Amino acid sequence: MVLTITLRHSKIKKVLIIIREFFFKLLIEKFGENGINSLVKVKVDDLIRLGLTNYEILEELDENNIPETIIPTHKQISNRRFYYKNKILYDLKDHSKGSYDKWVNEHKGSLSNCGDHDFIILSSNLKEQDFMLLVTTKALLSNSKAQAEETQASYVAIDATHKLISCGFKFSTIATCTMQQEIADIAYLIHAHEDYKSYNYAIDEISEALKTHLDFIWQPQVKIYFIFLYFYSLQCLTFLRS
Amino acid sequence: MSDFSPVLKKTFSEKFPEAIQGKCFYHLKQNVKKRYKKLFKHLEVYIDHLGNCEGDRQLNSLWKLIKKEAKSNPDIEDIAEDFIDYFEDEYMNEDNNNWYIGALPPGFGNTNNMLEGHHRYLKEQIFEYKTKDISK
Repeated sequence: MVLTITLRHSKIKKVLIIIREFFFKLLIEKFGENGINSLVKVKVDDLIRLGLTNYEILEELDENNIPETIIPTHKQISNRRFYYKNKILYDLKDHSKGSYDKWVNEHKGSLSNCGDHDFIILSSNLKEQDFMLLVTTKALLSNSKAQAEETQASYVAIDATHKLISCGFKFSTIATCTMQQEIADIAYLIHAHEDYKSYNYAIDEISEALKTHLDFIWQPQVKIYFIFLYFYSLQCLTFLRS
Repeated sequence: MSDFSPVLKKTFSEKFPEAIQGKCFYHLKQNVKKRYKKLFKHLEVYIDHLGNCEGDRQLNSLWKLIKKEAKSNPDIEDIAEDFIDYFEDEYMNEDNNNWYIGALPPGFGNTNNMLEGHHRYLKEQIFEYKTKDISK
């Protein structure tokens, strides 16, 4: 009887050890997946605030001889960046909205009063989780008009970058291009999300500003350009025939 | 002119429905290179020429040649079918095929490189950002 009990006990002990090991392994794996190790978190936060990219952060950690086991993954750093972005948005909306609005109003000069090269905030939007800030000058806006008059067709190029502003905010340049492939900026958009809403907002605001201040209807299209080419080729043909 | 971002495509088709939406050929090449690294090495020269096509006929005949080359090359024939399906679905349909010279108004380039360069310059000025020199 005693022997059987001890046998049972030893079996249970073995099973318990296996279960414990299994859960311990699971815990380590989960710990690795879920968050940045608290020992390096402060360092990672500082580097994110400095505006370094994920690869640069990993390089910096590697140079500081931090053990490989606690170096965060690419995804973990991205998640931390995303967390910071939401935190900034939350702080702006709920705690610093007054000072932000004051700052915007200070720089929101009117296009009719400002100098040609004075940077002004054309418009700003801060609602719930959305943030958009459109910056331009009078001279930059007039690039759009000048390009359309030169080529008879409005041309717009847009590109966003994530690396200019830290913590996941995007910086988009709205520009035009001359026939000599020279870039001419129109406005800059700083936004929280790269979505339809942000671009729609930027295009609406620029169109409105061009219409009211430069008396120009911004309508990128090539129809007029092809008509112009058609008449030009017709003229050439009649000249050749004569 | 933009990259293949669906957000920009939606915005521009709603705001300026009559405009031609040019797509960046450089981004197309990068997408293909990322997805089919081995195949891209063999077909890079052909794919480069796709961007310089001056019309639909030229584009279609070059695409036929690329398909033939991909299928006949023993090194890449296993992924050729997959690549052809991917390319035709993504870049040869009516919504997304304004990436070659002939599809754009005369005088305008088919890449967004000038803006990319502009952003790169800003990054260099602000963060002293430098890309790695792969020659070393």
